[in-house]
Amino acid sequence: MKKLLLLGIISTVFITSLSSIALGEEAGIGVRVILASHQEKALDARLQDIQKNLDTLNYSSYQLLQERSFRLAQGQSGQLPLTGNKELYVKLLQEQGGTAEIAVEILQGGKGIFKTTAKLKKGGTLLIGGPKHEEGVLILAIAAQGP
Amino acid sequence: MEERELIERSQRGEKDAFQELMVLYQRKIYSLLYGMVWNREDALELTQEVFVKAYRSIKGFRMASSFYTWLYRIAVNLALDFRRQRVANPEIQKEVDPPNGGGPDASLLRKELNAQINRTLGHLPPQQRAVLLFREVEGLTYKEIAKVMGCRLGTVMSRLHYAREGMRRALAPYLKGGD
Amino acid sequence: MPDCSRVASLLEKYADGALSQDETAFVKGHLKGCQRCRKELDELLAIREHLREAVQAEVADAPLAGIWEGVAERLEAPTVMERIWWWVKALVFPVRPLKALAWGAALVVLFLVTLPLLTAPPTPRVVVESVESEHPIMIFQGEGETTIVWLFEKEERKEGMR
Repeated sequence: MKKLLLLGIISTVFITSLSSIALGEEAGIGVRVILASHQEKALDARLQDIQKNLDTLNYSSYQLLQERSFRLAQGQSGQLPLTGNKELYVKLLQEQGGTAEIAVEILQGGKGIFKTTAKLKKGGTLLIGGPKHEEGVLILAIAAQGP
Repeated sequence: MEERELIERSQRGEKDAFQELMVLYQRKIYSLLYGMVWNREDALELTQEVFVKAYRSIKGFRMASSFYTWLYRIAVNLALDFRRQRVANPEIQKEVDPPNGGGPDASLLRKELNAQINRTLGHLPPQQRAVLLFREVEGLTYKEIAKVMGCRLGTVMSRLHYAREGMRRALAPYLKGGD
Repeated sequence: MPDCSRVASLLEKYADGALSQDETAFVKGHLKGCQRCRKELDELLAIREHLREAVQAEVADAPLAGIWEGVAERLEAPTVMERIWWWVKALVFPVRPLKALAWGAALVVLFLVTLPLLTAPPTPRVVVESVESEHPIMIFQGEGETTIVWLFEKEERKEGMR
């Protein structure tokens, strides 16, 4: 009886551990393309939830150009066209315990000019900025939206 | 009194000697710190901190290197720590009042230019800002800057180049036609 | 002019007085006949002038006379090490009430110091694992659980300067 109980406990712990380290099926990734400049003092109302994130950058104007939510399975990519003959690809590498590991790539004229891999928890924002656009710069705000 | 003697006396704990030493360098240190934080109160506060730290660690200063690069290193590290801790908030940053002289139009243009300089400096990464100030305002050589910042010569030149590019883009309207 | 591209790469060092004698002579000679490169040099020098004026105007007005007072006041206050040493002396001091008080305070301090070590620090919400870029980049932490990767795009050189 005692052995059976012990076996039951060990099995439960093992299965629970397995499921906790099991790779997630899919994840939601939100991408916002923002134009930042010094032209005027303005914050697009749709960006108010990330105003604190943007404050570090010290621009006076932030305008939302595009917004897309991707529901990606592991290994799947989402694509978004950007200005200046550029494209953005976001690929879910894996989702584990609420953390999405992603690869982000920017191509220009079909050629890769930037690539990063990052782990995002819900609530965290990755900002990739710097590419010139009109009188300002483009900022890509990438966030995990939870399972 | 010779600087070397002032340093030695300061190392023995003579505060009046250190005060004389401080008076020799306070303007330079304030100048650098003001360039880094662009706020008088913060720059004055940091200047005091620099000299307090310098006095407390002066026994560790070796005569082999120059005193002002040693002092500059303390100042730039404090300024970088200060900037890391401070929230970048455009509303809080005060704009500089223009210096004396010139008519109301000259004063307005100067104020606008200073505000633009402040904004642009604020956008530069702190290390680039420091290198730019050391070169353009304090007049240090590349080698001296590398020593103060604790980085390679190539890094100094690269940071300087990017800082200048940033300034050139932002100040373009003020550079056309020359002053 | 084919020399323009070479001079363009030397102009900053020329403005900083960091060229060799030969290079300085070469740039000087080129500048005599090239308005474009001269304009670029003038811009570099104008930036320097504006920056210096802005900072030096403030420094000239700054109330530096009171700096020593503030410094002296801070030097009078005990440092962290001096405070710690006071507590160490108090712990071995023979007067009983003071010793008990010192021991009690020391235990409280020990508890407060070790508490953060026992609590696991929260893992950051964004962790950048790798970056590959054609352009120079910088990574830094921003406000509100943000990690920022900044690309410094190189400006296109004008046609005539290649």
